[in-house]
Amino acid sequence: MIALTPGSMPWLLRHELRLAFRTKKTGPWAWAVLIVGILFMHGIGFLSAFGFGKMKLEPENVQMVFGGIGLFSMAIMLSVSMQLTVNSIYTRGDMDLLLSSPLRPGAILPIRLLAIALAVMGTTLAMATCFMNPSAIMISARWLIGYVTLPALCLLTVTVSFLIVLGLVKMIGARRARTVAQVLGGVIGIGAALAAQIPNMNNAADQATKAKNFQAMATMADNPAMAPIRWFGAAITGETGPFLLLALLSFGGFLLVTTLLGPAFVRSVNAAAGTDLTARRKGVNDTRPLSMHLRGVTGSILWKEWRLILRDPSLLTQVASILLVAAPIVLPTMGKSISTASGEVMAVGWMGVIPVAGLLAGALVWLAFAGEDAPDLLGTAPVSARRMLRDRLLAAAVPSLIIATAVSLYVITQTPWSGLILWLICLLSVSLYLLMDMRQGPALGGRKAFQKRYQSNMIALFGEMLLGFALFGLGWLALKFLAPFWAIPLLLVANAGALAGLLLQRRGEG
Amino acid sequence: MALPRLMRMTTTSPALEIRGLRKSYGEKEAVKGIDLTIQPGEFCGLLGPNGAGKTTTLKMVVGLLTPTSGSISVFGVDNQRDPVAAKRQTAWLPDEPMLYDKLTPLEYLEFVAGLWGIDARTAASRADELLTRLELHEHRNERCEGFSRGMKQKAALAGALIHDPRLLILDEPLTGLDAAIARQVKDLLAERARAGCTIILTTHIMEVAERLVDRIGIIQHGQLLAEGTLAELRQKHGRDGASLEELFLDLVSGKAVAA
Repeated sequence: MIALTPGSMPWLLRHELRLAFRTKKTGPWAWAVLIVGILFMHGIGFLSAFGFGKMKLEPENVQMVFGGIGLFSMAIMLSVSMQLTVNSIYTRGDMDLLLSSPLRPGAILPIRLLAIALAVMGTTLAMATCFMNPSAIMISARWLIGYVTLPALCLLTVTVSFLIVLGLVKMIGARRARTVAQVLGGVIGIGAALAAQIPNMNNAADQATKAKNFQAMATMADNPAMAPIRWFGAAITGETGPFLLLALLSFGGFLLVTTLLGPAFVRSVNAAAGTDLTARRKGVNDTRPLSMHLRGVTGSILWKEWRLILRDPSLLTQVASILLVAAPIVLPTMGKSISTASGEVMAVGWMGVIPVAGLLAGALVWLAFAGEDAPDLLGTAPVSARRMLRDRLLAAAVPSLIIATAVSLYVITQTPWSGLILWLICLLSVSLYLLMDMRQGPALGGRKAFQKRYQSNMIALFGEMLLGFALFGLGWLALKFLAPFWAIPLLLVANAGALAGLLLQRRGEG
Repeated sequence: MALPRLMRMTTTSPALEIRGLRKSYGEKEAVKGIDLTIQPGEFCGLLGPNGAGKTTTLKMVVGLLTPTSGSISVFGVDNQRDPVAAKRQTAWLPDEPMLYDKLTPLEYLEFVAGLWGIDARTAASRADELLTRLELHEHRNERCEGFSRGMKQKAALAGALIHDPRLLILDEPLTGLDAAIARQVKDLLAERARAGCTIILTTHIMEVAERLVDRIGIIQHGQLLAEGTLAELRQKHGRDGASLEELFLDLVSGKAVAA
């Protein structure tokens, strides 16, 4: 290991990185999932690069497209980094230790922001690589410029998110700033996901139409109002002038902000420390007696899980944003239809509910198991392990089941067999995601670690993505090629197997 | 305030009977064959250096850990054969309060009562009683996220008592509490013991053990070094007039020998 001077900025950065990226020991199967996931995403990247290369776009088209992609990525990164910035100010963690040490306060801020930038960049870069590498091979080596522009964008984003959070603390006070920043971060992420789908609203059915859409963008590139997006695209794609300006803005802005605002950061941290002591938010009406009706064990667990989510604006926006995963699938494909083996014609977009139901269940089961704040309390309750497991799974599954059933019921009214098959695949999706995500070990910090659950577990991220694609593909195959006579019994058997797998799980202890 | 319902209970089985209890983590043996019997209504203190195996032992008693070998019965119920029945009679209070920041104490008690299957009316009345007793009543509708450590510990203690356990197990219950809150907790525990509740606590504060508990067990390296009342321990180890602290230090350093 390289010897770094204790107390120096590189030494502190190594400490932050060690905390941020310390992963659990992973077995060979986990590495296999990761490698398959990366190869799979590279496969998609090669297909995209192939299609993109065939379009022979003019440079201004490319700049507009990448300007849009860059803005979208920045908005997503801004959403995540705002949550992480809020955590860095409000979750004391080791802040007391750092601030009481002889370290210069000015050294803490840049390191903390760099750590946030690296955490945000980790996931984004992992995804972007799968598209940059194929583009570099199939189109031009200059696409490798992404390895420079992405970190620059990330640094710029983190600096902006820090300025927003700090500004909020200054303007509306530490306590309110926390909630507002968390909600704002969520809204930015949701808005970006929706805005990214606007071009898809005009359904691109074939390559020719897609090319026309890009031509339309080229026309937009001539519009002076679109100049900033085009300039942004030029910077991302490595055009010398804009690229240097972006780099200057990112690195210069970062240095300037961290140099000038170190003391303000420390003041905000101190102000935030007082918010918990003054947080006296009411949970229920004073005059209401203890609201113990109907409950029992199952009711108590369901009530506890949902109330804890509903009371946490940050968690709520993060969980709600999962529903937006459907947007890239549903919106472009709503106009397309699939002729099923039963002779019905169903809109492909409805199949978006398959991964969404699973992802939502996976997120909630993470909260119910890995994020449980009082595992000892549940462990000592006089409830059989199997019943406790069943109730916690139920708490995680019910919201997904409601969504899946509502969508499927609507589809059933239009195309009965397809709707039924869709519903059965959704149930399978929910069970498989529960099975995958309930196995994650307890998270340090409980449910507060929800935002960072992929940071030290890229395998879970790729696993979830692969499962989503696989289930979507399975749904398409079942609808397209299997008559209901075959599809329904097969799916019932698969569901029974998944359910048995779930209920026979044992949560291990030491 | 009405006496807890424990006064009404009678039983002939020991409150806790541990036989040949062992727990290994791979090569490391954390508990090495402990035998211990605690009678109903006794207030027992488990003392030992850090890492001696106290918490591991207690976690096996409350069903959080599975023993490698040995048996544990709670009021005659084997906690491995019928864990639900054993847990129904037990409460566990760890050193770090098990609370949910976004719930109020009242909601927390409601949740715990739900887990133990207490009916709504009884739970409401007990919650009211406990929150008043622990001076948390005026904070009953505030979320726990704003509470001090002492308030959190009191809310967690109320949670441990809401189902009126016959065996109450506390791991370092007084750690980090100020004098006033520590006094409240000690008074409540003494009151519960007088009412017939069997209590086991671990502590590093010898003065607390000396003043509160009836019997003392000293654990080191996963083994029970000594067990009995303070007078019995003094007599057994030939240290008449010694304080518990002196006796404890002699025992764990190997200076004390059986008389």
